[in-house]
Amino acid sequence: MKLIVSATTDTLDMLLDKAIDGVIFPVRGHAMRYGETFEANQIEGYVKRAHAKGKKAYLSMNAIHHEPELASLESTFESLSGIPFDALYFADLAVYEVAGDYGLVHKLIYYPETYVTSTLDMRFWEEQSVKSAVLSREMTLEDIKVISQESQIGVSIIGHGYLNMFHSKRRLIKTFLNHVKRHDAQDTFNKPYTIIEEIREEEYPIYQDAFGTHIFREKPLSSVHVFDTLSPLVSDFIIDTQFFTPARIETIVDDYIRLQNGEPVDETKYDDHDDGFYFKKTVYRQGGGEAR
Amino acid sequence: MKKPELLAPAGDLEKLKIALTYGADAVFLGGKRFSLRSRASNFDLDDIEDAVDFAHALDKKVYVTTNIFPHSEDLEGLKDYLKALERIRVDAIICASPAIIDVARKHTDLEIHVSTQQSITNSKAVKFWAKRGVKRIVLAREVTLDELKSLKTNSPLDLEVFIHGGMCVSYSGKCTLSNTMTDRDANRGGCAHSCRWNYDLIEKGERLSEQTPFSMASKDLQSIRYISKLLDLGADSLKIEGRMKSAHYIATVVKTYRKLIDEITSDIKVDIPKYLLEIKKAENRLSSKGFMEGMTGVEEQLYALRSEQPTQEFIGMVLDYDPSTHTALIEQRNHFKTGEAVEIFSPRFEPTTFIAKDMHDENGEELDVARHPKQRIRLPVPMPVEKYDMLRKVRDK
Repeated sequence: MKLIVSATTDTLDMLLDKAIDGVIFPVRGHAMRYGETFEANQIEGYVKRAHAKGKKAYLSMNAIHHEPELASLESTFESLSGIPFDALYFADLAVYEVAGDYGLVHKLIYYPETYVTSTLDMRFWEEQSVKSAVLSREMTLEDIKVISQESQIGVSIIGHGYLNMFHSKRRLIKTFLNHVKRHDAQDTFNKPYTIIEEIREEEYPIYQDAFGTHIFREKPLSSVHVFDTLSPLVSDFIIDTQFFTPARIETIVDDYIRLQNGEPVDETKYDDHDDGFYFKKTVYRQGGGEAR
Repeated sequence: MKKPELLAPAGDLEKLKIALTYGADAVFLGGKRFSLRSRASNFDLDDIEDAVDFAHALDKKVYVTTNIFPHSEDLEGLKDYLKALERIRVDAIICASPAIIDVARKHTDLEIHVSTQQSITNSKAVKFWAKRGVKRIVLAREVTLDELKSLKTNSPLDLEVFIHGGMCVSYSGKCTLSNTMTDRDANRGGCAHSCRWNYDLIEKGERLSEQTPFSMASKDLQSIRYISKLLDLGADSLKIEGRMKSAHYIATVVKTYRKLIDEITSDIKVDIPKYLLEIKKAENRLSSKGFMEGMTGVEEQLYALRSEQPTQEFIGMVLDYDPSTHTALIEQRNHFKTGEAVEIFSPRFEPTTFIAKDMHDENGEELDVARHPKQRIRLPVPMPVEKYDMLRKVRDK
């Protein structure tokens, strides 16, 4: 199982010195929900730096593209086409189509966040000749096991980090502050807010950017206590570093390296995390409607 | 000008018949399995077959939603289910998951429409599915009219556009609020509508929602003013959402858009205010233009969960008509009494008002008040009526 970590300029040198397998460079304008994105014309230099340290260089273009953004998508691929990156995460099928024009489909990793939920999804994407697919975050450990046993392509998971649970194109924070006539309604992009539901206590991170509004689970996912179970099932274990400080990222990365080496880690460091959906089976066919 | 398909929801067999009778060209419905809105889906295979027979007799179509993202354990029986849908001649299935699309393509000749759950927003994604045997794309509700123009020009598939009804405020298929907050899987029919709940919005410890709770809820979509433009752009199918809505809602909304489309394509000068008034008779949530003109703002959001009362109340469904006595047999749906102004609503003629009088139950007992749900009542009416015509009461405003 490879350890793959999303990079920022603050953490890149540190990450490249660690015993991880690869780093993720989100491509500006085409990647969302990362701590930082990189201009396409900077990517070549970063890929070289990663390769020089023996690391794989993964790119991410996981944004949803609307029709007017297709021209930019194509020109970005033009810029990237000669760069020897190792893999590219995508969610929008437009990326698959344009990658095909450049003969890059074999480097693609499908990462739609919520759509890869079964053995047959993996088979479909295998037939599309992609390298791997990232499983939906709602998969239980048992789901992951079943999919892994039948998959002929790499099974990737987000193993650590804040899990996004809502993405709207609407600028919901700005709109609300306009509605309540707050003077700061025009200054809402990329600022950290939280929301608390009226009868629940959880405080969910929420922010707004050029892609819309994003809401996250209250606690970041940790896999430290199930790492040994996941290790034989998963090809790529992704550490999503959004919202973490560089120091915290280093601690997290060091701990997963220890786990990969079979060394113990202090699990109490992750008491402020949760285990996502690993042991939480969501219900099917309960019917829609209010459920509080 | 090409006349697009008008596509309506069918929550049950009666609503299906009403939707088609009031002017829909096609309906979509959910089966017992593999469909979102499982609470609205009460069609077993026999029901679907009845629905198909009814629709095909009118030269209309039935699409079946198989639009969940199934987990591995949900896949059992999928192939047989899809083969059964093919055997009973459904006209298409609406799918979100590549897993279901793939099984349908490999084991059936079913026509496949890709659901809005895939949130398709560009023509490259349309081309992806065109190469994989899909016939139609149900576009994301975030697509604007300007984007649709380019999409239509560059897309090789039929494009279906939402024109009316509830809207996910999230990109469809991308929301797991319900999974996290209620353990119910939004992408497998369990959405708890957590986006419509009230929240506090906090910045650096300061509560920004002191007076009004923060909510993500959007107003429903209403596109009366945009139908002409959608027809100009060549949208292939115009979709009304609402499998859980009432029969009266379906009838009112379908008839309104039916008439509007027919007038536009017949070059009849359209009286938009009249249509806006008519659609309000069904409205039970505030509505907006959604993304038709671009990015949404305050006007498209719903704060403090305000609902609108429909301006008319559905009080009875016509079951039969006796021309010798000019009397309709009515099934009561809401309380009404003699002396009240009642409107007959029909797919065949303009709404006509009369005063309810000389009501009798089935045993011939005279009634002052129709107070029992589903009670059968004989009521003289001023014109011949047919099954599925409706009676509604004008509300005091």
